Amino acid sequence: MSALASLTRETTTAAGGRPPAKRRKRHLASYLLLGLIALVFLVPAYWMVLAAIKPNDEIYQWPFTPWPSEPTTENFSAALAAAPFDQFFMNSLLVTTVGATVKVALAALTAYAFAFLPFPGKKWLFLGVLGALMVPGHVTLLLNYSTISNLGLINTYAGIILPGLGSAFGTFLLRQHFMGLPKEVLEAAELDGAGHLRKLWSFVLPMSKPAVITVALIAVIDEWNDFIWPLLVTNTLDMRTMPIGLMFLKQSEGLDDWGMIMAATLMIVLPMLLLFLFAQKYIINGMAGAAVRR
Amino acid sequence: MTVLETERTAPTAGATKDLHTESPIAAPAEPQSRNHRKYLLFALFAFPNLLLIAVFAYWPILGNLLLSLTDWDMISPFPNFIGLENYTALFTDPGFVDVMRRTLTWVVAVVGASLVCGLGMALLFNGGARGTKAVSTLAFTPHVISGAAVAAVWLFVFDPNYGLSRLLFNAIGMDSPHWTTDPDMALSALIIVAVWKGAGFVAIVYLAALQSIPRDVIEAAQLDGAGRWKTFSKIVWPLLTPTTFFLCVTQIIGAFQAFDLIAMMTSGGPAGSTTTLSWYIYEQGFQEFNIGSAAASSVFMFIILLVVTAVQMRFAERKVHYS
Amino acid sequence: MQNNPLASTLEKSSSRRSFLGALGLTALAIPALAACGNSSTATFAQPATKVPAGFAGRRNVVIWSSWGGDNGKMFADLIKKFNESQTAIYAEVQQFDGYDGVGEKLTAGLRAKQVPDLAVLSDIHWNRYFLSDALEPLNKYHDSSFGPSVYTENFYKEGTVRDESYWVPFARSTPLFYYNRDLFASVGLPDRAPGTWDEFRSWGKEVTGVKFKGNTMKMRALTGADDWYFSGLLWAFGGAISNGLDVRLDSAESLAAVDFERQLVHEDKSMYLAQSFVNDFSNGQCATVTQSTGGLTSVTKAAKFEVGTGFMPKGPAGTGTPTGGGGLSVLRQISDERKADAVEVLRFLANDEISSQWTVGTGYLPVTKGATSSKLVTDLMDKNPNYQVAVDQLQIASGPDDVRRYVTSAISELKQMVQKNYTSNVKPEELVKPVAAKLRAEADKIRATYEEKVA
Repeated sequence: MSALASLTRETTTAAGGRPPAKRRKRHLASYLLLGLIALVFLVPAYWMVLAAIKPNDEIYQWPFTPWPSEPTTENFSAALAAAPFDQFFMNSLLVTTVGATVKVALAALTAYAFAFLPFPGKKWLFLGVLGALMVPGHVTLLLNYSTISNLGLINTYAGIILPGLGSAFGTFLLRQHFMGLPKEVLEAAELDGAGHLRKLWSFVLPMSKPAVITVALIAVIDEWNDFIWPLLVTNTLDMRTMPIGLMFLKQSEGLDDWGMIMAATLMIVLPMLLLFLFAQKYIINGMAGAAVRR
Repeated sequence: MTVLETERTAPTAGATKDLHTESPIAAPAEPQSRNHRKYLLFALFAFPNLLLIAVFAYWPILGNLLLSLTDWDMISPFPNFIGLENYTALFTDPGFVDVMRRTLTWVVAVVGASLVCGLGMALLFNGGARGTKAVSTLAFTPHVISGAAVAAVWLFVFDPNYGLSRLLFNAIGMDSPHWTTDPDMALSALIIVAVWKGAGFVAIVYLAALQSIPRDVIEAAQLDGAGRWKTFSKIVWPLLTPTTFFLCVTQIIGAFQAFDLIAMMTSGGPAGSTTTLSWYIYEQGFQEFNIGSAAASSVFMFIILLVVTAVQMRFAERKVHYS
Repeated sequence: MQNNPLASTLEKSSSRRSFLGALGLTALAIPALAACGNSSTATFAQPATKVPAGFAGRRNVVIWSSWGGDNGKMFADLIKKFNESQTAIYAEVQQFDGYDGVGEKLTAGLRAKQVPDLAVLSDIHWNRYFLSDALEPLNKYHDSSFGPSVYTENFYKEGTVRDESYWVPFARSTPLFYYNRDLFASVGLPDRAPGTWDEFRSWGKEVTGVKFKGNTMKMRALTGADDWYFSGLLWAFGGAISNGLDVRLDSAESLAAVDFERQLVHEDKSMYLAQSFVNDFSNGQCATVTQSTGGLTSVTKAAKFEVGTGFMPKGPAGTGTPTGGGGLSVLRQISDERKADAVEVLRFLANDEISSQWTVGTGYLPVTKGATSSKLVTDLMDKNPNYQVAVDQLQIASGPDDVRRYVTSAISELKQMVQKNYTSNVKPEELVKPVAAKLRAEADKIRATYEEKVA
């Protein structure tokens, strides 16, 4: 984690010893580049927001206007009228909260078991967990569709959530973290007569907060953005999640109403954007950290 | 729920057992029974997750292998065994060879461009100019946003009649290319979007790696009179190799499975020009219901990615030996 | 490999069914054993519905529909009227991405044993479900308000096989030639659709490149998502996709049609593949499109100019106008009660008033005798001659070639071929030969089933 903590630290350049004039020139260049990069990421976002609040005929007007003559919410109401985005939102919310919560709980329990409890052949089981990291999700679609069909769970929340619940990545990450915890604390807890579940809940988890939060945030982002699985497993409009709802809107209304589509897009993006703003330290450090550590 | 309840009752059960096993003969058996209790607890804790992993990650691999030997339409009660016919059909179909060539182009372009752009940004961010943090956060943002949403935005940006693209190309006196309906452009359009979505993540990972390089190493090199390029190529880049390798592998795995951008923007078209292996599997499996063929393609994808991962693991191992 | 999978597996499955069973695959990969052999008597589940409070306690009918946008709203309105006319049944429309979308989810639904009661299937989709015994024969439900006496004869017949009805006409259409009258006038073209494809070509040369209201014009925007118009063009040139199951895609006449489109796209540059061809037309980006009569109402509404329509242009071999669009089928693997309820919906939609409202609201052709002569429809035709054009053209239209109907992969193969023709300048022989060969192989695979059940 220490390498990552430094991410938020302001660093000075390696070129600290250069003459000031040269340095200023270089700084100017890097500001220009930074500005350029910012534009590359901001302009499409601006383009989206602009269309979402522009009256429809202004979107199709040439030459373009850089700002709506009168910002409007009509695109949002049009999107809501064309497709039940409130329902999509609830579906996404439910699938994301239930899916992510259960996933993290399962990962924590499994990681605890692997870190602190004995079991014959435990090493092999853990290798099995690691192996699952190498199974690409796309390869599992056909058979998981079949399995969910046979369980009678097509077009149900359980059907959307179930295949994603098993957590190999979270288990791996948390186990590594649990193993690094100071043994003394856990031994003291044991002397106090704490059961394993209490040890997990009151000692191990609080001491592993950053790791747990990272695993949870990644789970939330994955669930919310998941695309192909909900697309396959849901049939009816009222079971669609937000991303599938957006595709549905694009297909059913055609590409002839960009204002409405951009309004809907904005609705999908916003929750994750807010989450990202509030938890960016955990997300960036967690995701990059999970990467660097390997 | 059941896990919690069992856990709560477990200590009591153990306690009563202890009372009954006070005789000296039973004493040696006690650790074993405690072990059994721990085994049970392990099972309660870990098995639900392990079962899910077995059913939804391992079973599909085996099942794909089996289904790839059959001819099945998803409806008829029983698949027909047809041996390796699906595989021979795939590899002799010029259409599938095209799909693979296209997939390769896609993966190489997306991964290559993401790494180059990401590293470039990381080096810039590592300079620590004011505003770096905001810009790096901004660049990372697309990584956490739904691919479907990103695709929708870019579809609009690319629209040759009403999109930003018309504005930009008209400004230089040209007509906008038909990004998503011209087969010569469509894959490039998707690559641009994929790199836009992924480069920020690469940048942040590289940045973390750059910042973990001890500063005195770089300063020592500079004292020796090494210029910026030399410092980078001789010191920094080699130290980044494990990160580069890791990023390569994860990005390759991601690019192979890219689906939401393709589904939203081109549906594999026009004229199949954006049909990569991942779209092909979807099309065969869930649009045309050639389950055997889709399963064979899935097995093929699995093997490719397994090899990629294996290479990385071999490399990582060697790295450990050297250090 | 890409044969009609529904048909062929049914024949040969029994001999090899032990293979996967022995491997233990039965548990998860394939349906439970209960369904084996007698799939016609097994009953499948109904997809979940959301019944509004006022309609609680009724039996549900689930309809899988292909329509979005204006037509989708129109259809939902009709079903709402059905629900209000009823005391025992509540019908719910569940919408999918076009005819292909319904097809994909229906096949997947048959796998998951969860199917709707009614499905909107296109004229080239229902046949494959018929071949796999998924559609309920409807003759036994016929009476004076539902059956051959009610529907327009040609349309009714298209949904029958050996005199048994499986697919009821509803949203039937032909392609229509749409043009921008304002633009035609400003370029000095006559106010009518071109009579022949040659005339279309020469007009195209005049229109292409003209600046009109800020846009540089092209003659026609093309869609790559449909091989329907293309099959009409083949006929106009004397070619065809097939004759029965005999593929004729690579005949000299068919190749001439392919080459004609190639020349217009790549040499004249008067036609182009659009992201959304209807959108480009109604926003004045191009001069003409060929589009279903079913888009008449919404295109007229969206366009900010006068829309003109006409017959599809003629080719060297005369007219080439395919019928198209969708109809409704009752699923077979559902309970008898659900089937009877589904037929009630069909009966309601066949009602003269409802049927004519649908025609007027969408532009789809009237499919019942009563609707054709109803005041609502005749008034509309008097008022807007474009609707009259649509009905008149029906006299010269004909149904799809059999390979398009029965060979599952034909639709996607043909679409790909058409898209390729629109986007890369390839010799017609090179373009068509591999597709023809593939379709021939696929057609041969289903020939036995086809001979047994259809021919």
